Amino acid sequence: MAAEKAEMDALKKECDGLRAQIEAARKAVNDGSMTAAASGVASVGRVQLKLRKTLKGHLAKIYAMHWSADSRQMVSASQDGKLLIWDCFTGNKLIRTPSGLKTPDLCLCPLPVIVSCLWDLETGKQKVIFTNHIGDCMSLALSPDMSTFISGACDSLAKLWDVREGSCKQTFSGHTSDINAISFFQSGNAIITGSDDCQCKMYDLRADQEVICYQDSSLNAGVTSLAVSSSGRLIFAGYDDFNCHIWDSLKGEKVGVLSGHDNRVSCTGVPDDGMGVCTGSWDSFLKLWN
Amino acid sequence: MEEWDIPQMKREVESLQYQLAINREKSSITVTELVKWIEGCVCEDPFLNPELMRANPWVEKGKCVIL
Repeated sequence: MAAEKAEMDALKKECDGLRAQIEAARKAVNDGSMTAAASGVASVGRVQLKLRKTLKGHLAKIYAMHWSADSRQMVSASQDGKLLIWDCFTGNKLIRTPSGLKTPDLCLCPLPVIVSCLWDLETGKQKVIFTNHIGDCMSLALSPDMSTFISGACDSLAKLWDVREGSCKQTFSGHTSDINAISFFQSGNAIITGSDDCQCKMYDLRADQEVICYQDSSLNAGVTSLAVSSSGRLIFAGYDDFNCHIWDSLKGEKVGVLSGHDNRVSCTGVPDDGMGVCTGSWDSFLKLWN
Repeated sequence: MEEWDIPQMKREVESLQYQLAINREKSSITVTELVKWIEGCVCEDPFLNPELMRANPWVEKGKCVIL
């Protein structure tokens, strides 16, 4: 027993030492800042979007939505047990079986435990299991080139994984509560996280560290979801305060707000053509804005 | 982490060693390039270039829609 405890203590000490070395390595390359790099960038001004459609059909909280690659169809999932597929140009629900839609070959899903799994949709089998988080894994995103993915968890960490090897390549800390939302920038070199600590953060994958934090003293609600505009300049973050706030990703300023939901915003998504943003809420509605 | 056993802890050590070994680039370069990349894409971002939003797919074209 004593020998085991001694070994455990030694291993813990080794982990602490390694983490300290990682922090030192990060400091060593931290010779620039987003504030400095973006100082010459023009402001985007106020971003005012109009509510174009409210999609009604679900009978309970909406907890997820996803755009089809055609930027026209969208699927939403609700606590009412239904998946609804929408034509967002007409606002109609499509009466069509899911097999009519193109689905990716492989799909990542977070499980309410400490792992995330890579499923082969055709065989229905788990291909790889990634275990490294201590808390429930709440959010996932695949990199634009599909070679890596990122996960955000209740242990307040974000991790970058190699899809084929199943190894954790980088770990990002800084949040003080559950990370509920995570997304890649289209360049593939940066990620955004949203957390119950009411903040969003951008992490630079090449410098292996946080480069900017999106926070406002008047915002005391947790971030539930986020989506990025096609250029990456705007971040649409859904909050527990029933709003979706719009951030200028380079200046770190709030530049707009989408108000209209009667309950927390649970999901947000920008289609591939970048022509607007969809918000889904516990109020059972989806709203389209541009 | 309190519930971890020795094999899990050993794997954590290995993982941290792997993560320590990655190549880190200077943020003065990486952040500058990120800013450039985003700025370069702004003209093609419908939210920021009103020209692109002229043909708005989410706005009704006519007064009535035949279902």
